[in-house]
Amino acid sequence: MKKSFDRRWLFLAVGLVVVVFLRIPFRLKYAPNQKTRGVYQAVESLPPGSIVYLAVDYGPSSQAELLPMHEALVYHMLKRDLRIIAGSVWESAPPVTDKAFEKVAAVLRKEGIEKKYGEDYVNLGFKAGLDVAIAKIGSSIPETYPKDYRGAPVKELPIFEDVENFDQIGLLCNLSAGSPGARQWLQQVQTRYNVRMVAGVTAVMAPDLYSFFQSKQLEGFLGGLVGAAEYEYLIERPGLGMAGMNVQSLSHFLILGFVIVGNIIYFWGRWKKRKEELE
Amino acid sequence: MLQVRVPILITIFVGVFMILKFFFHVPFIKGVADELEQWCLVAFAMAIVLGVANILRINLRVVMKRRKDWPYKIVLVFSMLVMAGVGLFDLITRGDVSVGSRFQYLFEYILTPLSATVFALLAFYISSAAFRAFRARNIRAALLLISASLVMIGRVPLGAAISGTLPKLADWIMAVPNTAGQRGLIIGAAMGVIATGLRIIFGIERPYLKGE
Repeated sequence: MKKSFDRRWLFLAVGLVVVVFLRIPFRLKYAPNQKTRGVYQAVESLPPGSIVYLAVDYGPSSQAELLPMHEALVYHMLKRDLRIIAGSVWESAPPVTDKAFEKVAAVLRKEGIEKKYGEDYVNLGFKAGLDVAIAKIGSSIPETYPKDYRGAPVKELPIFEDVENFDQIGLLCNLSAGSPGARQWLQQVQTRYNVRMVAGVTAVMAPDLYSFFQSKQLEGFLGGLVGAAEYEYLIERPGLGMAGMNVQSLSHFLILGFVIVGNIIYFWGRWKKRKEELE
Repeated sequence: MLQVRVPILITIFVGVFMILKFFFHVPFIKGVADELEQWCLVAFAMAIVLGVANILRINLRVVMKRRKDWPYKIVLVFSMLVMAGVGLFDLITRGDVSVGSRFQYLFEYILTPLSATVFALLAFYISSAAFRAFRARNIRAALLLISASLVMIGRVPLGAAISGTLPKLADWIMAVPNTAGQRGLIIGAAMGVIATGLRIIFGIERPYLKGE
Protein backbone atom coordinates (compact mmCIF):
# COMPACT_ATOMS: atom_id res chain seq x y z
CA MET A 1 0.00 0.00 0.00
CA LYS A 2 1.31 3.44 -0.91
CA LYS A 3 1.97 5.53 2.19
CA SER A 4 1.46 9.28 1.72
CA PHE A 5 3.87 11.81 3.16
CA ASP A 6 2.56 13.65 6.23
CA ARG A 7 2.77 17.34 5.30
CA ARG A 8 2.94 18.32 8.95
CA TRP A 9 6.68 17.56 8.74
CA LEU A 10 6.95 20.41 6.22
CA PHE A 11 5.01 22.72 8.53
CA LEU A 12 7.32 21.79 11.38
CA ALA A 13 10.42 22.54 9.26
CA VAL A 14 9.04 25.96 8.23
CA GLY A 15 8.01 26.76 11.81
CA LEU A 16 11.44 25.77 13.15
CA VAL A 17 13.34 27.86 10.59
CA VAL A 18 11.18 30.92 11.39
CA VAL A 19 11.35 30.59 15.18
CA VAL A 20 15.02 29.61 15.43
CA PHE A 21 16.37 32.26 13.06
CA LEU A 22 14.24 35.01 14.55
CA ARG A 23 16.16 34.24 17.75
CA ILE A 24 19.59 34.05 16.11
CA PRO A 25 20.39 37.45 14.60
CA PHE A 26 22.91 37.62 11.77
CA ARG A 27 23.81 40.36 9.34
CA LEU A 28 23.24 39.97 5.61
CA LYS A 29 24.82 42.16 2.97
CA TYR A 30 22.35 44.35 1.03
CA ALA A 31 22.68 45.80 -2.42
CA PRO A 32 19.55 47.99 -2.84
CA ASN A 33 18.17 47.89 -6.36
CA GLN A 34 17.15 50.81 -8.59
CA LYS A 35 13.53 50.74 -7.41
CA THR A 36 14.50 51.11 -3.75
CA ARG A 37 17.10 53.75 -4.55
CA GLY A 38 14.42 55.63 -6.52
CA VAL A 39 12.23 55.92 -3.41
CA TYR A 40 15.20 57.00 -1.28
CA GLN A 41 16.30 59.61 -3.81
CA ALA A 42 12.75 60.97 -4.18
CA VAL A 43 12.56 61.57 -0.42
CA GLU A 44 16.10 62.98 -0.32
CA SER A 45 15.39 65.38 -3.20
CA LEU A 46 12.58 67.21 -1.36
CA PRO A 47 13.54 70.45 0.38
CA PRO A 48 12.85 70.55 4.17
CA GLY A 49 9.29 71.64 4.94
CA SER A 50 7.85 69.98 1.83
CA ILE A 51 4.59 68.11 2.19
CA VAL A 52 4.31 64.37 1.49
CA TYR A 53 0.88 62.79 1.06
CA LEU A 54 1.12 59.30 2.56
CA ALA A 55 -1.73 57.12 1.29
CA VAL A 56 -1.92 54.16 3.65
CA ASP A 57 -3.98 51.43 2.05
CA TYR A 58 -3.41 48.28 4.06
CA GLY A 59 -4.79 46.63 7.15
CA PRO A 60 -3.45 44.55 10.02
CA SER A 61 -3.17 41.35 7.96
CA SER A 62 -0.38 42.91 5.84
CA GLN A 63 1.41 44.64 8.71
CA ALA A 64 4.22 42.08 8.84
CA GLU A 65 5.17 42.99 5.29
CA LEU A 66 4.30 46.69 5.10
CA LEU A 67 4.73 48.15 8.58
CA PRO A 68 8.57 47.91 8.44
CA MET A 69 8.71 50.03 5.26
CA HIS A 70 5.97 52.31 6.62
CA GLU A 71 8.03 53.06 9.74
CA ALA A 72 11.27 53.42 7.78
CA LEU A 73 9.69 55.89 5.34
CA VAL A 74 8.02 57.96 8.08
CA TYR A 75 11.32 58.02 10.02
CA HIS A 76 13.28 59.15 6.98
CA MET A 77 10.71 61.80 6.02
CA LEU A 78 10.32 63.29 9.49
CA LYS A 79 14.07 63.23 10.08
CA ARG A 80 14.49 65.23 6.88
CA ASP A 81 11.97 67.77 8.22
CA LEU A 82 9.34 66.86 5.66
CA ARG A 83 5.70 67.18 6.75
CA ILE A 84 3.38 64.21 6.30
CA ILE A 85 -0.36 64.20 5.59
CA ALA A 86 -1.62 60.61 5.85
CA GLY A 87 -5.00 59.39 4.72
CA SER A 88 -6.61 56.11 3.78
CA VAL A 89 -9.32 54.56 1.65
CA TRP A 90 -9.05 51.29 3.62
CA GLU A 91 -11.21 51.23 6.74
CA SER A 92 -8.68 49.25 8.79
CA ALA A 93 -5.69 51.46 7.99
CA PRO A 94 -6.04 54.54 10.28
CA PRO A 95 -5.07 52.73 13.52
CA VAL A 96 -1.98 51.34 11.71
CA THR A 97 -1.08 54.87 10.58
CA ASP A 98 -1.47 56.16 14.15
CA LYS A 99 0.74 53.38 15.47
CA ALA A 100 3.52 54.07 12.94
CA PHE A 101 3.47 57.83 13.65
CA GLU A 102 3.53 57.36 17.42
CA LYS A 103 6.33 54.82 17.27
CA VAL A 104 8.53 56.93 14.98
CA ALA A 105 7.80 60.13 16.94
CA ALA A 106 8.95 58.34 20.13
CA VAL A 107 12.16 57.14 18.41
CA LEU A 108 12.91 60.66 17.14
CA ARG A 109 12.19 62.09 20.62
CA LYS A 110 14.89 59.81 21.99
CA GLU A 111 17.25 61.19 19.35
CA GLY A 112 16.39 64.72 20.52
CA ILE A 113 14.07 65.60 17.62
CA GLU A 114 10.57 66.75 18.60
CA LYS A 115 7.79 66.27 16.06
CA LYS A 116 4.29 67.54 16.72
CA TYR A 117 0.95 66.14 15.59
CA GLY A 118 -0.89 68.66 13.42
CA GLU A 119 2.29 70.56 12.59
CA ASP A 120 4.69 67.91 11.28
CA TYR A 121 2.32 65.03 10.66
CA VAL A 122 -1.40 64.33 10.61
CA ASN A 123 -3.62 61.28 10.27
CA LEU A 124 -6.77 62.10 8.31
CA GLY A 125 -8.33 58.68 8.85
CA PHE A 126 -10.58 56.68 6.54
CA LYS A 127 -12.67 57.92 3.64
CA ALA A 128 -15.24 55.62 2.05
CA GLY A 129 -15.53 55.69 -1.73
CA LEU A 130 -12.66 53.64 -3.21
CA ASP A 131 -11.51 55.17 -6.57
CA VAL A 132 -13.97 58.07 -6.28
CA ALA A 133 -12.51 58.99 -2.88
CA ILE A 134 -9.02 58.97 -4.41
CA ALA A 135 -10.18 61.23 -7.26
CA LYS A 136 -11.86 63.54 -4.74
CA ILE A 137 -8.70 63.73 -2.59
CA GLY A 138 -6.93 64.83 -5.79
CA SER A 139 -9.33 67.78 -6.22
CA SER A 140 -9.35 68.99 -2.63
CA ILE A 141 -7.93 67.38 0.49
CA PRO A 142 -9.77 69.54 3.10
CA GLU A 143 -13.07 69.09 1.26
CA THR A 144 -12.66 65.30 1.25
CA TYR A 145 -11.47 65.17 4.84
CA PRO A 146 -13.11 68.07 6.73
CA LYS A 147 -11.88 66.54 10.03
CA ASP A 148 -8.85 64.46 10.92
CA TYR A 149 -8.85 61.06 12.67
CA ARG A 150 -8.89 62.82 16.06
CA GLY A 151 -11.92 64.88 15.12
CA ALA A 152 -10.12 68.23 14.68
CA PRO A 153 -11.15 70.45 11.72
CA VAL A 154 -8.26 70.08 9.26
CA LYS A 155 -8.30 73.73 8.18
CA GLU A 156 -7.37 74.69 11.75
CA LEU A 157 -4.28 72.46 11.72
CA PRO A 158 -0.98 74.30 11.05
CA ILE A 159 0.11 71.68 8.51
CA PHE A 160 -2.89 72.64 6.33
CA GLU A 161 -2.06 76.37 6.35
CA ASP A 162 -1.04 76.36 2.70
CA VAL A 163 -2.39 73.02 1.48
CA GLU A 164 -5.51 72.64 -0.63
CA ASN A 165 -4.76 70.02 -3.27
CA PHE A 166 -1.93 68.16 -4.97
CA ASP A 167 -0.42 71.37 -6.37
CA GLN A 168 1.09 71.88 -2.92
CA ILE A 169 2.17 68.26 -2.40
CA GLY A 170 5.84 67.50 -3.07
CA LEU A 171 5.51 63.74 -3.19
CA LEU A 172 2.75 61.16 -3.15
CA CYS A 173 3.74 57.97 -1.34
CA ASN A 174 1.35 55.03 -1.43
CA LEU A 175 1.60 51.96 0.78
CA SER A 176 -0.81 49.31 -0.37
CA ALA A 177 -1.76 45.68 -0.05
CA GLY A 178 -4.43 45.42 -2.74
CA SER A 179 -7.15 47.40 -4.46
CA PRO A 180 -7.65 50.33 -4.18
CA GLY A 181 -3.93 50.87 -4.01
CA ALA A 182 -0.92 52.00 -6.01
CA ARG A 183 -2.56 51.41 -9.41
CA GLN A 184 -5.65 53.46 -8.52
CA TRP A 185 -3.48 56.32 -7.18
CA LEU A 186 -1.53 56.25 -10.44
CA GLN A 187 -4.74 56.39 -12.49
CA GLN A 188 -6.70 58.93 -10.46
CA VAL A 189 -4.02 61.26 -9.10
CA GLN A 190 -0.50 60.81 -10.51
CA THR A 191 -1.53 60.93 -14.17
CA ARG A 192 -4.18 63.61 -13.67
CA TYR A 193 -2.21 66.05 -11.52
CA ASN A 194 1.30 65.08 -12.66
CA VAL A 195 2.46 64.62 -9.09
CA ARG A 196 5.71 62.83 -8.20
CA MET A 197 4.92 59.39 -6.84
CA VAL A 198 6.60 56.46 -5.08
CA ALA A 199 5.03 53.32 -3.61
CA GLY A 200 5.53 50.50 -1.18
CA VAL A 201 3.60 47.30 -1.84
CA THR A 202 3.41 43.65 -0.83
CA ALA A 203 5.68 41.23 -2.69
CA VAL A 204 2.78 39.76 -4.71
CA MET A 205 1.80 43.23 -5.94
CA ALA A 206 5.33 44.26 -6.95
CA PRO A 207 5.29 42.64 -10.45
CA ASP A 208 2.33 44.92 -11.34
CA LEU A 209 4.39 48.06 -10.80
CA TYR A 210 7.40 47.39 -13.04
CA SER A 211 5.71 48.87 -16.10
CA PHE A 212 4.85 52.08 -14.20
CA PHE A 213 8.42 52.31 -12.94
CA GLN A 214 9.79 51.88 -16.46
CA SER A 215 7.42 54.57 -17.79
CA LYS A 216 8.71 56.85 -14.96
CA GLN A 217 5.23 57.36 -13.53
CA LEU A 218 6.68 55.86 -10.37
CA GLU A 219 10.07 57.18 -9.31
CA GLY A 220 10.64 54.03 -7.30
CA PHE A 221 8.89 51.38 -5.26
CA LEU A 222 9.54 49.01 -2.39
CA GLY A 223 8.37 45.44 -2.98
CA GLY A 224 7.65 43.36 0.11
CA LEU A 225 9.88 42.83 3.09
CA VAL A 226 13.04 42.87 0.98
CA GLY A 227 12.17 46.41 -0.15
CA ALA A 228 11.73 47.45 3.48
CA ALA A 229 15.05 45.86 4.47
CA GLU A 230 16.88 47.59 1.60
CA TYR A 231 15.34 50.93 2.59
CA GLU A 232 16.37 50.44 6.22
CA TYR A 233 19.88 49.69 4.95
CA LEU A 234 19.90 52.93 2.91
CA ILE A 235 18.76 55.10 5.83
CA GLU A 236 21.18 53.21 8.11
CA ARG A 237 18.52 52.26 10.61
CA PRO A 238 18.08 48.47 10.93
CA GLY A 239 14.54 47.62 11.95
CA LEU A 240 11.80 45.06 11.51
CA GLY A 241 12.55 44.70 7.78
CA MET A 242 16.15 43.61 8.16
CA ALA A 243 15.29 41.33 11.09
CA GLY A 244 12.51 39.67 9.11
CA MET A 245 14.61 39.41 5.95
CA ASN A 246 17.04 36.99 7.61
CA VAL A 247 14.17 34.59 8.23
CA GLN A 248 12.63 35.18 4.82
CA SER A 249 15.94 34.47 3.08
CA LEU A 250 16.27 31.11 4.79
CA SER A 251 12.57 30.29 4.25
CA HIS A 252 12.98 30.88 0.51
CA PHE A 253 15.87 28.43 0.43
CA LEU A 254 13.87 25.92 2.47
CA ILE A 255 10.94 26.17 0.03
CA LEU A 256 13.37 25.77 -2.87
CA GLY A 257 14.63 22.64 -1.13
CA PHE A 258 11.04 21.34 -0.94
CA VAL A 259 10.59 22.02 -4.66
CA ILE A 260 13.78 20.11 -5.52
CA VAL A 261 12.96 17.15 -3.24
CA GLY A 262 9.36 17.08 -4.54
CA ASN A 263 10.64 16.92 -8.13
CA ILE A 264 13.21 14.23 -7.35
CA ILE A 265 10.43 12.08 -5.83
CA TYR A 266 8.20 12.80 -8.84
CA PHE A 267 10.82 11.79 -11.42
CA TRP A 268 11.88 8.77 -9.36
CA GLY A 269 8.23 7.63 -9.29
CA ARG A 270 7.86 8.19 -13.04
CA TRP A 271 11.07 6.31 -13.79
CA LYS A 272 9.97 3.37 -11.57
CA LYS A 273 6.52 3.25 -13.19
CA ARG A 274 8.01 3.21 -16.67
CA LYS A 275 10.44 0.44 -15.65
CA GLU A 276 7.57 -1.66 -14.28
CA GLU A 277 5.58 -1.16 -17.49
CA LEU A 278 8.53 -2.31 -19.60
CA GLU A 279 9.01 -5.41 -17.43
CA MET B 1 -40.92 54.23 -18.57
CA LEU B 2 -39.62 56.90 -16.16
CA GLN B 3 -38.11 54.16 -14.03
CA VAL B 4 -35.83 53.31 -16.96
CA ARG B 5 -35.21 56.78 -18.41
CA VAL B 6 -34.35 58.65 -15.21
CA PRO B 7 -31.51 56.30 -14.12
CA ILE B 8 -30.10 56.35 -17.68
CA LEU B 9 -30.20 60.18 -17.76
CA ILE B 10 -28.49 60.36 -14.35
CA THR B 11 -25.79 57.95 -15.59
CA ILE B 12 -25.20 59.98 -18.77
CA PHE B 13 -25.07 63.25 -16.78
CA VAL B 14 -22.61 61.95 -14.18
CA GLY B 15 -20.45 60.04 -16.68
CA VAL B 16 -20.13 62.95 -19.12
CA PHE B 17 -19.13 65.41 -16.36
CA MET B 18 -16.52 62.98 -14.99
CA ILE B 19 -14.95 62.61 -18.44
CA LEU B 20 -15.07 66.36 -19.09
CA LYS B 21 -13.42 67.06 -15.71
CA PHE B 22 -10.53 64.76 -16.64
CA PHE B 23 -9.81 66.52 -19.94
CA PHE B 24 -10.84 70.17 -19.41
CA HIS B 25 -9.87 72.53 -16.59
CA VAL B 26 -13.04 74.65 -16.73
CA PRO B 27 -14.23 75.94 -13.29
CA PHE B 28 -17.93 75.23 -14.05
CA ILE B 29 -17.25 71.61 -15.08
CA LYS B 30 -14.93 71.09 -12.12
CA GLY B 31 -17.55 72.52 -9.74
CA VAL B 32 -20.30 70.20 -10.98
CA ALA B 33 -18.01 67.14 -11.09
CA ASP B 34 -16.68 67.84 -7.56
CA GLU B 35 -20.23 68.06 -6.26
CA LEU B 36 -21.15 64.77 -7.95
CA GLU B 37 -18.06 63.11 -6.42
CA GLN B 38 -19.16 64.37 -3.00
CA TRP B 39 -22.62 62.80 -3.50
CA CYS B 40 -20.93 59.58 -4.51
CA LEU B 41 -18.92 59.55 -1.26
CA VAL B 42 -22.13 60.05 0.74
CA ALA B 43 -23.70 57.12 -1.15
CA PHE B 44 -20.63 54.97 -0.32
CA ALA B 45 -20.92 55.86 3.37
CA MET B 46 -24.60 54.86 3.28
CA ALA B 47 -23.61 51.60 1.61
CA ILE B 48 -21.45 50.78 4.65
CA VAL B 49 -24.50 51.13 6.90
CA LEU B 50 -26.47 48.89 4.54
CA GLY B 51 -23.59 46.40 4.53
CA VAL B 52 -23.60 46.19 8.32
CA ALA B 53 -27.37 45.72 8.35
CA ASN B 54 -27.03 43.00 5.73
CA ILE B 55 -24.33 41.14 7.70
CA LEU B 56 -26.61 41.20 10.76
CA ARG B 57 -29.65 40.03 8.80
CA ILE B 58 -27.92 37.13 7.01
CA ASN B 59 -25.92 35.85 9.97
CA LEU B 60 -28.68 36.17 12.56
CA ARG B 61 -30.98 34.19 10.26
CA VAL B 62 -28.37 31.38 10.09
CA VAL B 63 -28.08 31.41 13.89
CA MET B 64 -31.86 31.35 14.43
CA LYS B 65 -32.30 28.40 12.04
CA ARG B 66 -29.21 26.59 13.42
CA ARG B 67 -27.80 26.16 9.93
CA LYS B 68 -24.25 24.99 9.13
CA ASP B 69 -21.46 26.80 11.07
CA TRP B 70 -23.96 28.80 13.16
CA PRO B 71 -21.63 29.09 16.20
CA TYR B 72 -19.08 30.94 14.00
CA LYS B 73 -21.79 33.41 12.99
CA ILE B 74 -22.36 34.24 16.65
CA VAL B 75 -18.64 35.01 17.01
CA LEU B 76 -18.78 37.20 13.89
CA VAL B 77 -21.84 39.20 15.00
CA PHE B 78 -20.57 39.48 18.57
CA SER B 79 -17.12 40.72 17.43
CA MET B 80 -18.67 43.24 15.06
CA LEU B 81 -21.02 44.60 17.71
CA VAL B 82 -18.25 44.80 20.33
CA MET B 83 -15.90 46.71 18.00
CA ALA B 84 -18.69 49.04 16.87
CA GLY B 85 -19.94 49.52 20.44
CA VAL B 86 -16.48 50.26 21.85
CA GLY B 87 -15.78 52.62 18.97
CA LEU B 88 -19.03 54.52 19.53
CA PHE B 89 -18.41 54.64 23.30
CA ASP B 90 -14.95 56.13 22.66
CA LEU B 91 -16.41 58.66 20.22
CA ILE B 92 -18.98 59.78 22.82
CA THR B 93 -16.66 59.83 25.84
CA ARG B 94 -13.38 61.11 24.34
CA GLY B 95 -14.33 62.32 20.85
CA ASP B 96 -12.05 60.01 18.83
CA VAL B 97 -10.80 56.44 18.41
CA SER B 98 -7.11 57.26 18.00
CA VAL B 99 -4.06 56.41 20.13
CA GLY B 100 -4.89 55.50 23.72
CA SER B 101 -8.55 54.67 23.05
CA ARG B 102 -10.22 51.39 23.95
CA PHE B 103 -10.95 50.85 20.25
CA GLN B 104 -7.25 51.17 19.40
CA TYR B 105 -6.48 48.68 22.21
CA LEU B 106 -8.86 46.08 20.74
CA PHE B 107 -7.50 46.74 17.27
CA GLU B 108 -3.88 46.38 18.39
CA TYR B 109 -4.17 43.39 20.70
CA ILE B 110 -6.99 41.35 19.19
CA LEU B 111 -7.65 42.17 15.54
CA THR B 112 -3.99 42.66 14.52
CA PRO B 113 -2.64 39.35 15.93
CA LEU B 114 -5.66 37.44 14.57
CA SER B 115 -5.31 38.91 11.06
CA ALA B 116 -1.53 38.44 11.07
CA THR B 117 -1.91 34.81 12.15
CA VAL B 118 -4.34 33.99 9.35
CA PHE B 119 -2.02 35.69 6.84
CA ALA B 120 1.03 33.88 8.25
CA LEU B 121 -0.64 30.50 7.62
CA LEU B 122 0.14 31.17 3.94
CA ALA B 123 3.80 30.33 4.60
CA PHE B 124 2.82 26.78 5.59
CA TYR B 125 0.47 26.28 2.66
CA ILE B 126 3.05 27.62 0.21
CA SER B 127 5.68 25.20 1.52
CA SER B 128 3.24 22.30 1.22
CA ALA B 129 2.23 23.38 -2.30
CA ALA B 130 5.89 23.75 -3.30
CA PHE B 131 6.55 20.16 -2.27
CA ARG B 132 3.41 18.55 -3.67
CA ALA B 133 2.36 20.55 -6.72
CA PHE B 134 5.30 22.49 -8.14
CA ARG B 135 6.46 19.77 -10.56
CA ALA B 136 8.28 19.97 -13.91
CA ARG B 137 5.63 17.89 -15.70
CA ASN B 138 6.34 19.42 -19.12
CA ILE B 139 8.54 22.09 -20.74
CA ARG B 140 6.24 24.99 -19.83
CA ALA B 141 5.93 23.87 -16.22
CA ALA B 142 9.72 23.45 -16.10
CA LEU B 143 10.23 27.00 -17.41
CA LEU B 144 7.84 28.38 -14.80
CA LEU B 145 9.55 26.37 -12.09
CA ILE B 146 13.04 27.54 -13.06
CA SER B 147 12.08 31.23 -13.37
CA ALA B 148 10.14 31.15 -10.06
CA SER B 149 13.08 29.50 -8.30
CA LEU B 150 15.51 32.08 -9.71
CA VAL B 151 13.28 34.97 -8.62
CA MET B 152 12.77 33.40 -5.20
CA ILE B 153 16.46 33.12 -4.43
CA GLY B 154 17.59 36.13 -6.47
CA ARG B 155 15.32 38.53 -4.57
CA VAL B 156 16.73 37.73 -1.12
CA PRO B 157 20.15 38.91 0.12
CA LEU B 158 21.26 35.36 0.84
CA GLY B 159 20.94 34.61 -2.90
CA ALA B 160 23.08 37.65 -3.71
CA ALA B 161 25.67 36.40 -1.22
CA ILE B 162 25.93 33.08 -3.13
CA SER B 163 26.32 34.70 -6.55
CA GLY B 164 26.07 38.26 -7.83
CA THR B 165 24.45 36.92 -11.02
CA LEU B 166 21.32 35.64 -9.22
CA PRO B 167 19.85 39.10 -8.39
CA LYS B 168 20.62 40.28 -11.94
CA LEU B 169 18.83 37.27 -13.41
CA ALA B 170 15.86 37.74 -11.06
CA ASP B 171 15.67 41.42 -11.97
CA TRP B 172 15.80 40.62 -15.68
CA ILE B 173 12.93 38.12 -15.34
CA MET B 174 10.85 40.70 -13.49
CA ALA B 175 11.73 43.67 -15.71
CA VAL B 176 11.50 42.02 -19.15
CA PRO B 177 9.28 38.92 -19.54
CA ASN B 178 7.09 39.77 -16.52
CA THR B 179 6.62 43.41 -17.55
CA ALA B 180 5.88 42.46 -21.15
CA GLY B 181 3.05 40.21 -19.97
CA GLN B 182 1.83 42.81 -17.46
CA ARG B 183 1.73 45.51 -20.15
CA GLY B 184 -0.38 43.30 -22.40
CA LEU B 185 -2.80 42.70 -19.55
CA ILE B 186 -2.96 46.39 -18.58
CA ILE B 187 -3.57 47.57 -22.17
CA GLY B 188 -6.22 44.88 -22.73
CA ALA B 189 -7.98 45.63 -19.45
CA ALA B 190 -7.86 49.40 -20.07
CA MET B 191 -9.47 49.01 -23.49
CA GLY B 192 -12.15 46.80 -21.97
CA VAL B 193 -12.81 49.38 -19.24
CA ILE B 194 -13.11 52.20 -21.81
CA ALA B 195 -15.53 50.18 -23.94
CA THR B 196 -17.66 49.10 -20.97
CA GLY B 197 -17.59 52.62 -19.50
CA LEU B 198 -18.84 54.15 -22.75
CA ARG B 199 -21.55 51.50 -23.09
CA ILE B 200 -22.78 52.25 -19.56
CA ILE B 201 -22.59 56.04 -19.97
CA PHE B 202 -24.61 55.93 -23.20
CA GLY B 203 -27.17 53.54 -21.71
CA ILE B 204 -26.37 50.61 -24.00
CA GLU B 205 -25.44 48.47 -21.01
CA ARG B 206 -27.60 48.90 -17.90
CA PRO B 207 -26.36 46.68 -15.07
CA TYR B 208 -28.07 48.99 -12.54
CA LEU B 209 -31.50 48.29 -14.06
CA LYS B 210 -31.35 44.53 -13.55
CA GLY B 211 -31.71 43.75 -17.25
CA GLU B 212 -34.54 46.16 -18.15
